[in-house]
Amino acid sequence: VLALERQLNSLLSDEDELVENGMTISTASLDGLVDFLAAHRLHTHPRLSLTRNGRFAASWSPYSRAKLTLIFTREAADWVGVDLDATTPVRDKGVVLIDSLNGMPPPFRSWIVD
Amino acid sequence: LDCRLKGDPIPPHDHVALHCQPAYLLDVDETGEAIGVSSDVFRVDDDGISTNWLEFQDADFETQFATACLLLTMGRTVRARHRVGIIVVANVLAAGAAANKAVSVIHDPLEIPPNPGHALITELAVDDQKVFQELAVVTELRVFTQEALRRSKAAESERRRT
Repeated sequence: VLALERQLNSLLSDEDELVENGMTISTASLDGLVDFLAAHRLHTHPRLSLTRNGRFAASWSPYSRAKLTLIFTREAADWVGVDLDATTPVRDKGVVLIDSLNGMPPPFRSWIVD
Repeated sequence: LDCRLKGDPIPPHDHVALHCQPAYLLDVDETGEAIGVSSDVFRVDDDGISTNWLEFQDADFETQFATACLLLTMGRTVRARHRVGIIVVANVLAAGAAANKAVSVIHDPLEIPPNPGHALITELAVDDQKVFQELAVVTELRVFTQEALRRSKAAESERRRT
Protein backbone atom coordinates (compact mmCIF):
# COMPACT_ATOMS: atom_id res chain seq x y z
CA VAL A 1 0.00 0.00 0.00
CA LEU A 2 2.87 2.32 0.86
CA ALA A 3 4.54 1.63 -2.49
CA LEU A 4 1.32 2.36 -4.37
CA GLU A 5 0.85 5.58 -2.41
CA ARG A 6 4.40 6.73 -3.24
CA GLN A 7 3.90 5.91 -6.90
CA LEU A 8 0.57 7.74 -7.14
CA ASN A 9 2.06 10.74 -5.36
CA SER A 10 4.91 10.78 -7.85
CA LEU A 11 2.71 10.42 -10.94
CA LEU A 12 0.12 12.97 -9.83
CA SER A 13 2.38 15.45 -8.02
CA ASP A 14 2.78 17.98 -10.82
CA GLU A 15 -0.69 19.46 -11.10
CA ASP A 16 0.51 22.17 -13.51
CA GLU A 17 1.74 19.59 -15.95
CA LEU A 18 -1.47 17.57 -15.74
CA VAL A 19 -3.52 20.71 -16.42
CA GLU A 20 -1.24 21.94 -19.24
CA ASN A 21 -1.72 18.64 -21.04
CA GLY A 22 -5.47 18.56 -20.46
CA MET A 23 -5.07 15.28 -18.61
CA THR A 24 -8.16 13.65 -17.14
CA ILE A 25 -7.29 10.80 -14.81
CA SER A 26 -9.46 7.71 -15.22
CA THR A 27 -10.70 6.73 -11.77
CA ALA A 28 -12.21 3.61 -13.34
CA SER A 29 -8.71 2.63 -14.47
CA LEU A 30 -7.36 3.25 -10.95
CA ASP A 31 -10.11 1.01 -9.56
CA GLY A 32 -9.11 -1.66 -12.07
CA LEU A 33 -5.45 -1.41 -11.04
CA VAL A 34 -6.24 -1.61 -7.32
CA ASP A 35 -8.55 -4.58 -7.83
CA PHE A 36 -5.90 -6.32 -9.95
CA LEU A 37 -3.22 -5.85 -7.28
CA ALA A 38 -5.61 -7.27 -4.67
CA ALA A 39 -6.74 -10.20 -6.82
CA HIS A 40 -3.32 -11.72 -7.59
CA ARG A 41 -0.42 -13.00 -5.51
CA LEU A 42 2.27 -11.03 -7.36
CA HIS A 43 6.00 -11.90 -7.45
CA THR A 44 6.92 -8.24 -7.27
CA HIS A 45 5.12 -4.94 -7.08
CA PRO A 46 4.99 -3.36 -10.56
CA ARG A 47 6.29 -0.07 -11.88
CA LEU A 48 3.45 2.36 -12.58
CA SER A 49 2.83 5.05 -15.15
CA LEU A 50 -0.05 6.86 -16.81
CA THR A 51 -1.01 6.78 -20.47
CA ARG A 52 -1.70 9.90 -22.52
CA ASN A 53 -5.44 9.26 -22.13
CA GLY A 54 -5.29 9.02 -18.34
CA ARG A 55 -5.30 5.27 -17.82
CA PHE A 56 -3.03 3.58 -15.27
CA ALA A 57 -0.38 1.17 -16.50
CA ALA A 58 1.57 -1.43 -14.48
CA SER A 59 4.81 -2.93 -15.80
CA TRP A 60 7.09 -5.80 -14.88
CA SER A 61 10.61 -6.01 -16.24
CA PRO A 62 12.33 -9.21 -15.06
CA TYR A 63 15.49 -8.26 -16.94
CA SER A 64 16.68 -5.26 -18.87
CA ARG A 65 15.43 -6.15 -22.36
CA ALA A 66 12.09 -7.59 -21.31
CA LYS A 67 8.91 -5.83 -20.26
CA LEU A 68 5.23 -6.58 -19.77
CA THR A 69 2.71 -3.75 -19.39
CA LEU A 70 -0.95 -3.91 -18.41
CA ILE A 71 -3.15 -0.88 -19.08
CA PHE A 72 -6.31 -0.90 -17.00
CA THR A 73 -9.99 -0.23 -17.48
CA ARG A 74 -12.50 -0.98 -14.71
CA GLU A 75 -13.07 -4.57 -15.80
CA ALA A 76 -10.05 -5.57 -17.89
CA ALA A 77 -6.50 -4.75 -18.94
CA ASP A 78 -4.87 -4.47 -22.35
CA TRP A 79 -1.42 -6.02 -22.18
CA VAL A 80 1.68 -5.82 -24.36
CA GLY A 81 4.92 -7.69 -23.75
CA VAL A 82 8.34 -8.05 -25.33
CA ASP A 83 11.30 -10.29 -24.46
CA LEU A 84 14.27 -9.44 -26.62
CA ASP A 85 16.60 -11.79 -24.74
CA ALA A 86 14.58 -14.93 -25.41
CA THR A 87 16.19 -17.47 -27.76
CA THR A 88 13.66 -16.25 -30.29
CA PRO A 89 12.55 -12.71 -29.33
CA VAL A 90 8.90 -12.62 -28.28
CA ARG A 91 6.44 -9.78 -28.92
CA ASP A 92 2.76 -10.18 -28.13
CA LYS A 93 -0.33 -8.37 -26.88
CA GLY A 94 -3.86 -9.14 -25.75
CA VAL A 95 -6.54 -8.50 -23.14
CA VAL A 96 -7.15 -10.09 -19.72
CA LEU A 97 -9.88 -9.68 -17.15
CA ILE A 98 -8.98 -8.06 -13.83
CA ASP A 99 -9.36 -11.27 -11.81
CA SER A 100 -7.85 -13.69 -14.33
CA LEU A 101 -4.71 -13.94 -16.44
CA ASN A 102 -6.28 -16.53 -18.74
CA GLY A 103 -5.18 -15.95 -22.30
CA MET A 104 -1.81 -14.46 -21.41
CA PRO A 105 1.01 -16.76 -22.63
CA PRO A 106 3.18 -18.41 -19.94
CA PRO A 107 6.41 -16.48 -20.58
CA PHE A 108 4.69 -13.23 -19.68
CA ARG A 109 2.29 -14.61 -17.09
CA SER A 110 5.20 -16.12 -15.13
CA TRP A 111 6.73 -12.66 -14.71
CA ILE A 112 3.69 -11.66 -12.63
CA VAL A 113 2.51 -14.75 -10.74
CA ASP A 114 3.52 -18.42 -10.20
CA LEU B 1 25.79 20.98 -41.53
CA ASP B 2 28.69 20.10 -43.82
CA CYS B 3 27.62 17.79 -46.60
CA ARG B 4 24.83 16.20 -44.58
CA LEU B 5 21.36 16.79 -45.97
CA LYS B 6 17.87 16.92 -44.55
CA GLY B 7 16.44 13.45 -44.95
CA ASP B 8 19.74 11.55 -44.79
CA PRO B 9 19.49 8.29 -42.84
CA ILE B 10 21.37 8.31 -39.54
CA PRO B 11 24.00 5.55 -39.21
CA PRO B 12 22.77 2.50 -37.25
CA HIS B 13 25.50 2.67 -34.60
CA ASP B 14 24.66 6.30 -33.76
CA HIS B 15 22.25 7.49 -31.05
CA VAL B 16 19.13 9.64 -30.87
CA ALA B 17 17.85 11.47 -27.78
CA LEU B 18 14.15 11.70 -26.95
CA HIS B 19 12.60 14.29 -24.62
CA CYS B 20 10.66 12.00 -22.24
CA GLN B 21 7.70 14.02 -21.02
CA PRO B 22 5.28 14.64 -19.37
CA ALA B 23 6.71 13.07 -16.22
CA TYR B 24 3.61 10.97 -15.62
CA LEU B 25 4.48 8.93 -18.73
CA LEU B 26 7.63 7.60 -17.03
CA ASP B 27 7.62 4.29 -15.15
CA VAL B 28 8.06 4.90 -11.42
CA ASP B 29 9.27 2.26 -8.97
CA GLU B 30 8.13 1.56 -5.40
CA THR B 31 9.98 4.64 -4.14
CA GLY B 32 8.34 6.91 -6.71
CA GLU B 33 11.55 7.33 -8.74
CA ALA B 34 11.44 7.29 -12.54
CA ILE B 35 13.36 4.24 -13.74
CA GLY B 36 12.08 3.68 -17.25
CA VAL B 37 9.88 4.95 -20.03
CA SER B 38 6.40 3.83 -20.94
CA SER B 39 5.57 3.20 -24.58
CA ASP B 40 3.44 6.37 -24.55
CA VAL B 41 6.50 8.66 -24.51
CA PHE B 42 6.92 7.94 -28.22
CA ARG B 43 4.58 10.60 -29.56
CA VAL B 44 3.76 10.23 -33.23
CA ASP B 45 3.35 13.58 -35.00
CA ASP B 46 2.43 14.05 -38.68
CA ASP B 47 6.07 13.84 -39.79
CA GLY B 48 7.24 11.21 -37.30
CA ILE B 49 8.63 10.96 -33.78
CA SER B 50 10.79 13.95 -32.89
CA THR B 51 14.29 13.17 -31.53
CA ASN B 52 17.81 14.62 -31.64
CA TRP B 53 20.82 12.96 -33.27
CA LEU B 54 23.81 13.00 -30.93
CA GLU B 55 26.62 12.31 -33.39
CA PHE B 56 25.75 15.20 -35.74
CA GLN B 57 28.33 16.96 -33.58
CA ASP B 58 31.93 15.76 -33.84
CA ALA B 59 32.78 15.47 -30.14
CA ASP B 60 32.98 12.96 -27.29
CA PHE B 61 29.74 11.32 -26.16
CA GLU B 62 29.20 13.40 -23.01
CA THR B 63 29.66 16.63 -24.98
CA GLN B 64 27.22 15.36 -27.61
CA PHE B 65 24.74 14.49 -24.85
CA ALA B 66 25.07 17.92 -23.24
CA THR B 67 24.46 19.60 -26.60
CA ALA B 68 21.42 17.41 -27.25
CA CYS B 69 20.01 18.41 -23.84
CA LEU B 70 20.36 22.08 -24.75
CA LEU B 71 18.83 21.58 -28.18
CA LEU B 72 15.89 19.67 -26.70
CA THR B 73 15.04 22.77 -24.66
CA MET B 74 14.61 24.88 -27.81
CA GLY B 75 11.02 26.07 -28.00
CA ARG B 76 9.73 23.78 -25.28
CA THR B 77 9.60 23.50 -21.52
CA VAL B 78 11.93 21.05 -19.81
CA ARG B 79 11.19 20.28 -16.18
CA ALA B 80 13.46 18.68 -13.60
CA ARG B 81 11.35 15.52 -13.56
CA HIS B 82 11.55 15.10 -17.33
CA ARG B 83 14.18 12.72 -18.66
CA VAL B 84 16.24 12.15 -21.80
CA GLY B 85 15.89 8.78 -23.47
CA ILE B 86 18.95 7.60 -25.40
CA ILE B 87 18.34 5.03 -28.13
CA VAL B 88 20.76 3.32 -30.50
CA VAL B 89 19.45 3.80 -34.05
CA ALA B 90 20.00 0.10 -34.89
CA ASN B 91 17.54 -0.81 -32.13
CA VAL B 92 14.90 1.45 -33.65
CA LEU B 93 15.39 -0.14 -37.07
CA ALA B 94 15.26 -3.65 -35.56
CA ALA B 95 12.01 -2.90 -33.74
CA GLY B 96 10.47 -1.66 -36.97
CA ALA B 97 11.73 -4.62 -38.99
CA ALA B 98 10.27 -7.07 -36.46
CA ALA B 99 6.86 -5.52 -37.13
CA ASN B 100 7.42 -5.47 -40.91
CA LYS B 101 7.56 -1.68 -40.88
CA ALA B 102 9.94 0.28 -43.09
CA VAL B 103 11.06 2.44 -40.19
CA SER B 104 13.74 5.06 -40.86
CA VAL B 105 15.68 7.42 -38.62
CA ILE B 106 16.52 10.51 -40.62
CA HIS B 107 18.32 13.80 -40.07
CA ASP B 108 15.83 16.68 -40.06
CA PRO B 109 17.68 19.88 -39.07
CA LEU B 110 15.34 22.72 -38.10
CA GLU B 111 15.77 26.45 -38.70
CA ILE B 112 13.01 27.66 -36.36
CA PRO B 113 13.74 27.09 -33.58
CA PRO B 114 17.33 26.37 -34.64
CA ASN B 115 18.16 22.73 -34.05
CA PRO B 116 20.87 21.29 -36.33
CA GLY B 117 20.62 17.86 -34.70
CA HIS B 118 16.89 17.32 -35.03
CA ALA B 119 15.96 13.85 -36.27
CA LEU B 120 12.79 11.92 -37.00
CA ILE B 121 11.73 8.32 -36.55
CA THR B 122 9.34 7.74 -39.45
CA GLU B 123 6.74 5.23 -40.61
CA LEU B 124 5.27 4.39 -37.20
CA ALA B 125 1.60 4.85 -36.25
CA VAL B 126 -0.01 5.40 -32.86
CA ASP B 127 -1.30 1.81 -32.75
CA ASP B 128 2.14 0.21 -33.17
CA GLN B 129 2.09 -0.85 -29.51
CA LYS B 130 4.53 -3.74 -29.78
CA VAL B 131 7.09 -1.56 -31.53
CA PHE B 132 6.81 1.16 -28.87
CA GLN B 133 7.09 -1.43 -26.11
CA GLU B 134 10.27 -2.71 -27.75
CA LEU B 135 11.62 0.85 -28.04
CA ALA B 136 10.83 1.38 -24.36
CA VAL B 137 13.06 -1.52 -23.26
CA VAL B 138 16.02 -0.36 -25.36
CA THR B 139 15.81 3.25 -24.16
CA GLU B 140 18.44 4.34 -21.65
CA LEU B 141 17.07 6.96 -19.27
CA ARG B 142 19.24 9.92 -18.28
CA VAL B 143 18.62 13.20 -16.47
CA PHE B 144 18.90 16.53 -18.24
CA THR B 145 22.09 18.49 -17.63
CA GLN B 146 21.84 21.27 -15.05
CA GLU B 147 22.70 23.80 -17.76
CA ALA B 148 19.75 22.66 -19.91
CA LEU B 149 17.38 22.88 -16.92
CA ARG B 150 18.71 26.34 -16.01
CA ARG B 151 18.27 27.64 -19.57
CA SER B 152 14.79 26.18 -19.89
CA LYS B 153 13.72 27.76 -16.61
CA ALA B 154 15.11 31.14 -17.70
CA ALA B 155 13.35 30.90 -21.06
CA GLU B 156 10.09 29.98 -19.34
CA SER B 157 10.39 32.99 -17.01
CA GLU B 158 11.04 35.23 -19.99
CA ARG B 159 8.00 33.86 -21.85
CA ARG B 160 5.80 34.54 -18.80
CA ARG B 161 7.13 38.11 -18.47
CA THR B 162 6.33 38.93 -22.09
